[in-house]
This record gives sequence, C-alpha cells and structure tokens, in this order.
Amino acid sequence: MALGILQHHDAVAGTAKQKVTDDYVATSLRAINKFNSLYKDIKAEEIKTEVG
Amino acid sequence: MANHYRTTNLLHTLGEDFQYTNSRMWYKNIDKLLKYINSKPEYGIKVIYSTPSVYIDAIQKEKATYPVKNDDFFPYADNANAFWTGYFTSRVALKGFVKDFSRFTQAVRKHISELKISNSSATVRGNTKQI
Repeated sequence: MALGILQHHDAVAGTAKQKVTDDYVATSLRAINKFNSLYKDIKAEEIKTEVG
Repeated sequence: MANHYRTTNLLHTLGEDFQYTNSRMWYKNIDKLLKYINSKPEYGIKVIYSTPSVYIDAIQKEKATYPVKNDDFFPYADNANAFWTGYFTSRVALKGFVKDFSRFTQAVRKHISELKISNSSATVRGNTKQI
C-alpha cells in the first residue's frame, strides 16, 4: 500500500510540496520497518528448515 | 456527442486519483446510471461496461480513418503556465528510493508467494492478515 502511494504520479514525480514528499517517505519507511521484522522471522524459519 | 468524434462508439473512461477504492459503492451507482440512460430511448445512447479490446474491435468495424501524430506530448502542462518540465529529473533521491523499494517489494512478493504455494512456512501462515 505504501509503495502504491509512492509510485503514484504525484509522488514519484517529485511535484508535491516538500512536507508532502517528506510524509510519503516517512509512511514508506514505517511500512518497510514494520515488514522487515516480519520478514526477518520468515527468513529465520526458512534457514532453520534448510540448515537445521 | 458522437458528432464530435470519428466513430459512433465513444470511450468514456472511469477513474481518478485515489477515488475508486470502494468498488461495491461505485458499481452500485454506475449500474444505476447505466440502467437509467439505457431506459431512455430518446437519448439515442447505449452505455455498456467495456474494455480496451472491445472498444478497439468496435471502432475498427466502423473503418474510421485517423490523422497521424508525429510529434510528442512533451513538455506536459496541466494548466496555462504550469509545465511539468522537472518531473523526470527532480528529487533524484526520492526516485532512487522508489526504485529500490519497488525491487525489494517485488522480490519479497515472489518469495512469499512461493512459501504460500508450498505452504511450508508457519510464520507466513500465522501472519496472513499482515501479509
């Protein structure tokens, strides 16, 4: 969802005001950070299954 | 309206920025509009839901001829004195970030899809809502 907003033509184009662009980045970083902790668990489980 | 076009099949696109997220609400109302317009033979219009390929098929059957456009659409302007001339080059860090984020998302999406298909990850199973 955050990526979808970021890829919108008013976001990636860089035509928004600075504070709006700042919010696009902040929203994306929040999403990435939240997802990274989950993905870390997914990878950990996968590695454990592969390597034991 | 058809007088202003080269074919009797006219394309009316649906969509807007950030607007069409609630499909149930939109289709319920568009259904009503289609039903109303089609119930009025005096309008001389038949409106249907369509697709690009259905539209192209329909106008090809009308054998309309079109002028050839050789120049391009740039620089884009959406208002008088409002040219978007910087939007491919400005905010390079943001553009780089979008590309990095997209690549990461795409890779992760494939990985998680595989895990879902093989049903091999308890972590994926336990977090279906968030994923």
